[in-house]
Formats: sequence, structure tokens, C-alpha cells
Amino acid sequence: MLRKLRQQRAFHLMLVPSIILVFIFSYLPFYGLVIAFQDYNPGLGFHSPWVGMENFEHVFKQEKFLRTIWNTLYMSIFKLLGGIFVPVIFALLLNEVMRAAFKRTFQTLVYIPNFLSWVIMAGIMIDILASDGIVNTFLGLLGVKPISFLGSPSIFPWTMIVTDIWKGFGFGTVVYLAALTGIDPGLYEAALIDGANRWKQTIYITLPLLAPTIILMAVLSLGNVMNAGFDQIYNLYSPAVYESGDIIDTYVYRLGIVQAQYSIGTAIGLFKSVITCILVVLSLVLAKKAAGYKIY
Amino acid sequence: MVQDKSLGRKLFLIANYSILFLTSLFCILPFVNLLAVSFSGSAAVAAGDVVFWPVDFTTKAYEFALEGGQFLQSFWVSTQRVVLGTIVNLILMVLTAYPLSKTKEKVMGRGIYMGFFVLTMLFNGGLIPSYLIVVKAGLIDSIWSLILPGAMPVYSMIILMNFIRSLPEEIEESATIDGAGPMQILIRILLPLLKPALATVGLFTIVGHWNSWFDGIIYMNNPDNYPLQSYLQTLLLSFDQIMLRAGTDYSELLAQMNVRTGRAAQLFLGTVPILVVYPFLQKYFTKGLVLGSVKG
Amino acid sequence: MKRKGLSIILAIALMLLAACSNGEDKKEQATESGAESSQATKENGEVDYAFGKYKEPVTIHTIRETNTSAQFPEGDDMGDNIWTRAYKERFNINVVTDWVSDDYETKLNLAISSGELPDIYRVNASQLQKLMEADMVMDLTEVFDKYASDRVKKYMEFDRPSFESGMKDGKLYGIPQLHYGVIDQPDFVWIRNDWKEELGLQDPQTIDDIKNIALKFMEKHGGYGIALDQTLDTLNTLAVAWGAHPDIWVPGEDGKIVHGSTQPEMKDALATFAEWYKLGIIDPEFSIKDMAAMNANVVAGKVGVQPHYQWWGYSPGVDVVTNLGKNAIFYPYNIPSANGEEVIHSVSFLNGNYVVVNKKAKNPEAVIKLINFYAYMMDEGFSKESQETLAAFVNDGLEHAPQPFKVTNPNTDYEQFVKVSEAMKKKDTSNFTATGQWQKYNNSIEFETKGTPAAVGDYLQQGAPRSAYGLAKPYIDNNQYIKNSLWGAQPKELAKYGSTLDDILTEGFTKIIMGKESIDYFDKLIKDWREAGGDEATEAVNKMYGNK
Repeated sequence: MLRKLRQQRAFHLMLVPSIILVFIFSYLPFYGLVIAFQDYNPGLGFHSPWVGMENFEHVFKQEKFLRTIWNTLYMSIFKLLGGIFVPVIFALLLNEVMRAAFKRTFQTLVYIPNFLSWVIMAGIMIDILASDGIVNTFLGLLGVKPISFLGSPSIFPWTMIVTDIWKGFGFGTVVYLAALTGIDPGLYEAALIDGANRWKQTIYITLPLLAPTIILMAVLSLGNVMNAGFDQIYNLYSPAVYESGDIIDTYVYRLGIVQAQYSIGTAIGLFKSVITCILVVLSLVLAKKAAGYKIY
Repeated sequence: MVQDKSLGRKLFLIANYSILFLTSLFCILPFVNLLAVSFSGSAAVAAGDVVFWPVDFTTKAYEFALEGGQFLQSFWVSTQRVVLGTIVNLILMVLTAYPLSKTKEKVMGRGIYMGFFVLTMLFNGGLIPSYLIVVKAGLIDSIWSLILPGAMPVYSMIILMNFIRSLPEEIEESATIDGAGPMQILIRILLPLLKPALATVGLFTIVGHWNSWFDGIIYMNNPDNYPLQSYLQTLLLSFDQIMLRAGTDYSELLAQMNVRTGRAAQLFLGTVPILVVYPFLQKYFTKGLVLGSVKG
Repeated sequence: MKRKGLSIILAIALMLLAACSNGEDKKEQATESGAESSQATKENGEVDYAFGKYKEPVTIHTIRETNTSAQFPEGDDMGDNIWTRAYKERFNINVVTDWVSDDYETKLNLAISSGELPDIYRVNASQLQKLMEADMVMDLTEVFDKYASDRVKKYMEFDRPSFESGMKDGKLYGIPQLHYGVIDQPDFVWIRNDWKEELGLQDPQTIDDIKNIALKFMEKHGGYGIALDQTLDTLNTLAVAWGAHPDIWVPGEDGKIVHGSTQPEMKDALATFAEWYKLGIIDPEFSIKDMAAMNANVVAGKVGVQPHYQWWGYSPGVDVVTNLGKNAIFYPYNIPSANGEEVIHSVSFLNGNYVVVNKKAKNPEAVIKLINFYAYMMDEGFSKESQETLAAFVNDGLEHAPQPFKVTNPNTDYEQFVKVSEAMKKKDTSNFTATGQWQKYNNSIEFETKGTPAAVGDYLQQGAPRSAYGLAKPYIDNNQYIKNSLWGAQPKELAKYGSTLDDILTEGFTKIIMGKESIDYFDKLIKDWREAGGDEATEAVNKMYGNK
């Protein structure tokens, strides 16, 4: 075995710097997870009193917290799906643009919303989506009654989903476009000779070759499923829509407002991590079994 | 590539361009609104009168952000951070992605290494322990406190790794036969081929470094060491304080500028540099892989 | 390879040990303060504890929060300014600022965790509790007693409950920085003046009057009648009309302390609000509007009635006048009674900050001296220092520069208002005793004569014939107010719910007002609140603050 290691030593050595840095700055802090089981007092540090599962019990007993789990998953899953489909479609459309100048321009423009923080976007959204805002005025022209995008508990989650997709799709588009440029043009030439039109080419060549990237992005996004976008929700929600809009992170934030509750924040963070871990592992196994894809 | 110029294709192209054009328009409109707000008087903004053109034109918000040497100082800090940080990130990502792209026959324990890194994406020790580690490492007030934690972004590394995997094995095989070691293969042969992928993940890390502000605030005690976004963030808080107890002179300022115009100016000052860099990276995205060297 | 691995492991082990040993340092005892011997004496030969200058220079470290309402002259900043130089000149005390941050709370919590704390710093009520528990702050009882000036002691006597909130078992650990006064607390309903005059409407004497004024405004100008925000805080200012005190803790019917929002009187208030909503008087979209959005329509001239705080003139006042002109100004009106009994205003716990001294600090009395200095400059400096000197210390918001080294006169605003309103009547400023009074006066004149938007804040607060403080004063004089029984830090059982208990009520109240639930839902809502933790919290509040 040692001989094999020595043969491979170039590879192992390449990994060393990353391992050291990640160990120091990501693994060492894991010790801080113990706070989840303590009644943390910054002055006492890790010598704070131990309370076992009390922090978890305290939060899980709260009815209003339990519904945040549902809200989080609901919005996350649709955001994830939309966050895959929209950029893929858009990348495909963009790929059909032959003029490089236009392609580049469109690409830059759709990436712009990604730069705007939610603090700013929220202000704009509130204006646009108000009952006398642009969107409702436009809908009015079509004979539709004003919709309360931000104030109605039934509509609010969808407002969040759609606006989040809009803000973020530029990111995925960039990744998929880069992948598309990697497809061997020779394959298209061959297909054309066989008589396939652009549409058929897309279905039989482009999509299958893009599939690994799509699945990769999907699994990576799963890592985010317990988050559902604190910045966005925090800046746009209100008590009127708590029942469908309150997510785990916004709830924990409000729990911690009075005393900077590190214990509770860490406990819930741990809970979220464990769930995410399970989900990601499951999806990796599924991806491998179902499609033979090795993302890991 | 030979195009089919059927009517269907032409219609499709028209529709495509229209969709792309409309979408890009929607993406850029909020930005235009923001630009207008940043140049408008506070009363007009407070009343919601500003749409796409400034009302009561004033440059107060920008003056406020730019006065004193702080702005330029923090701009310089950010530039250093982005350059150093991105270089470190890219080097580490490449060094990590390459060995991990191999199978476990070629690199022993590959699965374990992978698990090691992926775990850090799922679990987090929290703010306090991370802070303590940085303190103990003596990095407070050093630019390295913004670079070393997170020096190897796992998410981007996985994307890079998958790109490497998508390259045909023959490329490396022919080089190995010629007697090249892994490091040489990596540098001489793979890197040039990875340009689109590197540009993609490079852009992500550049944007990530440029936009982050929280770490600057907690790891830097001396405000001269703040990166740009941290400095701009401090301006926001100052608006709130002005509101609390204003003297006459400050009321003058208040009458012309408020939180929203201030934020808008802040966003522009903070984002324009990135938007300027972005088109230059664009050309790497659209260059395809040149695979001709392998065939035949 | 092996050696490298070993050294890495060692390095890591060391780091872990270091992180752990954090706790040990704090058990050290404070060293003796050696300052007794080296101080200046007063004329009569006694040691001048309160203001004496040190013979040998003394250095103390502190940390600060960015405060940009202070406009520093070129070259100065929070760490180096006229106050810090005065500390050196007059007391021979060097104040070194270790860091300045605008996320002070977070940075302070991190500093506490890492044990890197300066000699003196400022904390809030809950941090004080934690520090006392961790035994990290010095017992200041004796030092305060010996070194505090008479003036500062008088402040503490004036608001004894706040003074006591900084104590534990009778010992003083945190010096409360106090506040500007109770006169800031009463709220009002603000009504747009030109609209009111135009329609010849009378001042509101009853709650129904308010409703009718709003309706008349709606008739003439369209839209809705009353502006409020999604947290219901501004609307709740009206609740005192029914004798309800939402958001504070008050003695209930059987003497036990209860949460004001759960009182039966609150139900009456909500019933009326719901009725108003149905009539379209209340902004139909209030539930998605934060303060800025609420103010937008006020500033745009679309609504004329706004329940708000005494500082309306500053925000949205300035924008209203800028945008709509001097005559669009809103004036404050007392909140009328809805049940025939006199209106009692709610007073929130006023003391937000405490000054604490690190247990390891060597010169705690230096802190007291600097606090004495601040009090002196603000209240006596007017008569004893030259005008320019004084101006340099307090103009342009510089009075906020001392930050941790200050205790505010808890009667400031009241005294200020009395002097300013007198001077406005007689146009005679000879009676002024503090700089703040000049500022308010000048701005009030400025607005009266020129209608300058920037000056309307001070005008409406104090200088106008109909001003916020003017209306508030009788309530203060007649003790027509009730203080939050929770006068200090929240008990643990309550704090660990953060704001979520209140949120249950806000969510429920919003539903009632918007008509999504009937008024009878109130009883179920309160029951839910109690089961979700309200009872637990109430018990804890009573244990900590009851029966005093």
C-alpha cells in the first residue's frame, strides 16, 4: 500500500494545502457545536452550564416553529425546481443566439439582478407589487382584480419563489452556458448530416450531454434546501403572512433578538445540518443508482 | 456550423430574441430605478415619486459616501482582497479538483478526502468559534483573515472537478506516455483546456469576495482595514443614528438624503467595479474547448 | 511526512487548549487600585474625588460604537477628539480606544467570548446580566459612592428604579446611563393642519371625533384615513384611550403583573380598530408596510391622520414639509378617552445602557470622574465655561462623543422644554442654562419665521404653540402615566422566547383588525399565547419584579 501511495504522491501532495486550511478554519470551529447543548454565556465560554437537549425541546415545543419547517421545505423545493428549469431553458435559448455581441450583452444583463442585495430589491419589490403598483396596474388592464402579492398568505410563498428565481437565474445560466460551449461541435455536424433539425439536435444531443451538469447543480442546490432564503424573506415578510411565509431562519432570528441566543441558533443550525446531510446523501445514492451518475 | 434556414427556424429566432430582450429588460429596470433613486432628493423618494428618472436631482448621497478618504482606502483594501483571494482560491481549487477527479484506483482514499470537504458544506461551527480561531491565529486586522477562512470554496471546486472529469481521458494518457508527471499535465495541458470553467468559478469567487462585508466588520478592529462593502455598510447604520437625534446642520443633510437614497448610492459605488470587470471575463465563457488536437 | 503530521497535530492541540483555557483568566482577582495617593485636592485641602486631576498619568482602555450623529472636525474621530483631549488636560487620564465598530453588539459579544475586553465599556441590560453571572465585572458600589459628584448622585436619586436596575443583591455592577426623560414617552394623534382648517374641523375630543375627521378627509381627498405600520406599534399608541397598555407589563386586576396586550381593555380597542378597517378608514394595505412605506403616503399627501410618537416632526415631518410645504404640517393632539376615564400613558423601560468596569481594571474611579465631567459640561458648563469652549464640546452632535463616559440627566428634556417654551413666549433667552436649549429655540424660530423644513422637528417637539412636549407636560406633572413593571432586564424565561410571544399577538391582532377573524377570536388568541409560553413568562416577570 505504501508503494502505491508513493506512486501517487504527486496527487496527495496537491491536496495538502487545502486540507490544512480547511481543517484549521472549518473543522476546528466544529467544537463550537457544543453550544447547542449548553446555556451559553459568552463570558463563561465553553464552560457555560450544560443543558442537554433542552434548547431543542424549547424550540420544538413551539407550535409556530413547527409550521416554519413546512414553509421552509415548501418554498425551497419549488425554488430549487425553478432554479434548475429556468436557467437551463434560458441557457439553451441564449445558445441559439449566433451574434456574439448580443449573446454577451444578454448574458451580462440577466446576471445583474444577482448583484443586488435583497435589502435593496425588497424596497423595489414592495413598490412594484403594491395594489397600485406596476404589476397590478398591468393586470388591471387585463381585467384582473388587484392581487395582494405580499399581504396574502396564500400568494406570498409564490411571490417569494418567483422573485427568487428571477433574481438568481443568471447564475445558473452562466454555468450551463459554459457547459454548452464544451459540447463537441462535430456531434451537431454529424446530426445535421443525418437530417436532424435544431429541435431534434437539442433533444438528442444537447440535453443528454448537459444532464450531468444539471444533476450536479441540483444536488448542490439540495445543500441549501433548509435555508429558503433568509435575506429575501426577512425583508419582505410581515406578521400578516407568517403562517405561510415564516421560515426556520426568520423564526430563529426572532427568538434570538433579545439575548443574542447563540445556544438556540447553534442548536437549530445543527438540526438543519443533519437534515440536509441526510437529504444530500440520499440524493447522491439515488443519482448513482438511477442514472449511473457519479457526482461525488 | 451549417444552419437550416427554414421558416420554423426564422420564427423561432424572432421569438427567441424577443423573449431574451424582454427578460433582459426586466432584469435591468430595477437597476435603472436604483440609479434614479440614488440621485434623487429624499422627500421625493420617501413619497415614492421616483420611477426611472431622478426627481429633485442631488448628488448628496454620493458625496456623503465619498467624503473623507475612507472610500478610496476601503476600495484599495477590497481590490487587494479580491486579487489575492481569487488567486488563492483558484490555485487551491485546481490543486484539489484535479486529484479528486480521479477514481479511487488512481488516488487512494479519494472518497474520504471528498467526504472531508463536503462535510464542511453541510456543517458549521457558528460565528463564535470561527472568530476565536481567527483570533488565535493572529489574523485580526490582517487581510488574510478575509482570505484564509474559506480559502478553498468547496461548491466551486466540485463544479470544477466535474468539468475536469468531462475531458476525454486520452488527453492525459498521451501526455503520460510521453513521460509527463501529474503536475506537468495539470499545468501544461489541463489548465488551458479549463479556461471556461476557470472563468466561471473565478467569476463566482471574485463576486463573492467583492460583496462580502460581514467578515470585514468583525475581523478588522481598525476601520482603515475595512474592505469596501464593510465601509459602505457602516454608512447605512449611520443614517439610522442621524434620525434619532439630529441637529440643525444635520437636518440639512437629512432633508436631502435618507436611508433609501443612501443605500442606492452605496449599491452603485459597490457594484459598478464588478460590472466593469464582468464583460472582460465573458469572452472566456464563450470560447469552446478546442478538441481537434486529440482526434487523429 | 510523518514529522510534518506530528507538528500539525501539536499545533492543533495547542490551539484547542488555548481556546479552552479562556475560562481560567477570568478567575483572577482585580489588582488593588493605587490611585488613592495621587490626586488633586480641593481648596479646603480635601482630596477632590469627583473632579481631581491625577498627579501621575492614568491610562484606561475602552471600546466604542460608531456614532455618526457626531460630526467631527477634520482629523478627529471617536478615538481622538475634544473630549478625549480634555480628559488628558483636565484629569491626566489617557483614554485609548481599542476598537470602534458599528456592529457594536456583535463585536462586543465576540470580545466577551474571546476574553479581550477593555477596562471600561458600555453594555445593554441583558449583557449586564450575563456578565454578572460570569463574574466579569467589578463591584462599583463603593467607588461610585466615593467618587460620584453630587450632580450625578442626584440623577440617580431622581430615577432610583433605573439606578437599582444596574444592581444585583444591592451591589452596583453597571452604572445606568439613564435617559432624557419621561416627557418623551406620551404619544399623540397627528393631524394634517391645512386639511383640518379647510374643512373647519374641531380638535378631536373623543375617539369618535378622530374617526369622523378621518372620514371627512377621505371624503375630500380620497384614499384612506389613518396611516399605520405592520408592527401595529403606531396604532397601539391609541390603545390608551381604552385603558389598554399593549407591549408593556402592568399590574392586572388582582394585583399580579400581566402583559398589557392581553388585558380585556385591549379587546375593546381592537373591536374599534376592526370597525374602522371595515369602513376603509385604516389603510387596507397596512399589513405589508414598514415605517418607511407607511410614511410614503403621508409624505405624498395622501393621508391626513397618523398616530405617532413625539418625534413626528423629525420623521416624516421634514419630508412632509419639504414635499408639501409649510402648511401641510401635522399638529399633535392628545389621545382622547374612549371610556370616560382619564387617559394614562404608557412608559417603557427607559434605561438602555450601563457602564461596566472590567474586574481586572486598575483605575475604576477614573471612569467615575469622566462621567462627572460629562454631567458638569452638560448642565453647569453653560455658566462656568466660555461660549466657544462649550460650543466645541456639544455642537454638531459632539455631545455623543463620550459614549461610555456619560450619564444623562434624566430630567433633561423636561427642563429643556420648560425653558424653551418660556423663551418662545417672551422671545427672551436670558434664562437658558444648557446648550440644548439654544438649539431647540433657534430651530423653532427658524421654522416659525422661514418655514425651513430641517427645523420643523424641534419646532413641533418643543417650540410651537402646540407642541408635543407641551401636550405631554400636564400628564407628567399629574403623574398620569404608568411605568412598565418590567423595569430592567428581562427574566430568562421571557428572554428565551425573543420576540416570538409578541409575534403571536401581532399576528392575531392583525387578523382581527383585517376582519379575517371575529373579535371573539381575541379570547382564543390570548389562551394560545399563554400556552405557548405566556404563562411561563408572566410567572417569571412576577417573580422578578412583582410585589416591590
